[in-house]
Amino acid sequence: MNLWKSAWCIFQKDMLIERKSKQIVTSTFVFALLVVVLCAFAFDLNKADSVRTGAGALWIAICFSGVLAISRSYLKEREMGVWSGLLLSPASKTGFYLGKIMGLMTFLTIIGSLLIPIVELFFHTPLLENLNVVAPTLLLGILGFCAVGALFGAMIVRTSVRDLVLGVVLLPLVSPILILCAKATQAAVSSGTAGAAWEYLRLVVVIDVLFVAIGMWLFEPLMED
Amino acid sequence: MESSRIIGKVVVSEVTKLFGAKRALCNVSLDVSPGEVVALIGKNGAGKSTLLSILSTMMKPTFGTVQINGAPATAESRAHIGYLSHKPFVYPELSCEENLKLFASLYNVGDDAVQKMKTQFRLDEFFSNRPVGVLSRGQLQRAALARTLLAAPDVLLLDEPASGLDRGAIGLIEQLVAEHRDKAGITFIVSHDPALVAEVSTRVVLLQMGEVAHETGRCSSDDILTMLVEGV
Repeated sequence: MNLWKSAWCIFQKDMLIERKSKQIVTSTFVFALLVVVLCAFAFDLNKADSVRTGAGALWIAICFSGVLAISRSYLKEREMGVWSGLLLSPASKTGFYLGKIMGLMTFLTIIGSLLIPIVELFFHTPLLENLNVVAPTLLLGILGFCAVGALFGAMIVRTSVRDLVLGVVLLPLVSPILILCAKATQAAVSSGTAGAAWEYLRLVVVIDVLFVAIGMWLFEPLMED
Repeated sequence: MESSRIIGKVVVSEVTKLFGAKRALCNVSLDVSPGEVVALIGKNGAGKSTLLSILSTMMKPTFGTVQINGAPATAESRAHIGYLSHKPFVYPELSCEENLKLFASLYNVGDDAVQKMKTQFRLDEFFSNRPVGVLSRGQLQRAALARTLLAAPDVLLLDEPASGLDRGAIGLIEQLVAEHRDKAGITFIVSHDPALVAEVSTRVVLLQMGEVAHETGRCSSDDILTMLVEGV
């Protein structure tokens, strides 16, 4: 079975389960919303500082809610042992990895899109005005985050210390991407031009390519062990 | 299933499995020909399920080898293996039909196989459209059996297939195993039900403390019960 057919099967399955249960997007969005609201009230900033801080709050919310989404997505695989059933099929395991990235990206892109107007409301950060930069930043950041998350998520399906692994291993690995995306968003909203943000985004693209390539290389051998 | 039948032997050679210091299997060797139904019996912790996991390629032996049709059992062998585990390997949020369609795609078999399984396991429309998470133990087991047999595997591994099933459904399993045997398929069955073992098996292997303690041909349920209670 080819790579993309296998990836498409897993992606469709994740979408179908989410359409029925609505667990991942709902719980993750509520959590992300809470993070943004808490940040808005806790920092108590003046308007000038608030505009710049909004970019950071957006990425903090995406990061925390992303960990939750990865954990919930792979918990579904753990129930009734179905992950073992998938691995025992002759389908491409690298395709499973890509399918999980596609699913997680869809969930986090929905969350991120919903957060943009909320962050703008609470922090007066002109994210919607700079959507031409904010949107690709969001997509590139989420891609890198999900590339690492889909790999570690699969590794924790069969371990009982999953939250520990996600917290301790995933966050340090994705922190360069999150920092660069926060800086890119901040540069876009501060200068109102795309040029400054693309300095950071070029690096994000390189890291994304690296993370996806490493994930595709490691996923199958790790699942077979 | 697009792939052809293996119609070859399954050879287990001196398989040992260690979990840390604990020995789950010790030098287990079996030579199984097409058309054989091997019943693995023994007390809890004897190593029956571990042996099935190794045969399924889900677990690697610490020592020894498993060969299917003369080649080492690897990930490539999986298209030919159907494994019914203790867990049903289905998504609780999805219906039987949705689960079967997912696995049909992964095994590259068509929708006709899904329809065949639905008919064979009497997964009618109402039952088929309910999320499997709300089904009873017996219904869930039928869904799991349908998933196991979906791709018409050559090697069938059944771990406690009668668990939670009524007499009628057990009769269905007996019929399925008999059909698989007649098509020269190889079946390994783990069961604590002497009547089921006596009905379907062509060979009975008693495992004790991870070792083959006794091996015999087809025998009565009384003989199987004696083996289970007395050891040999």
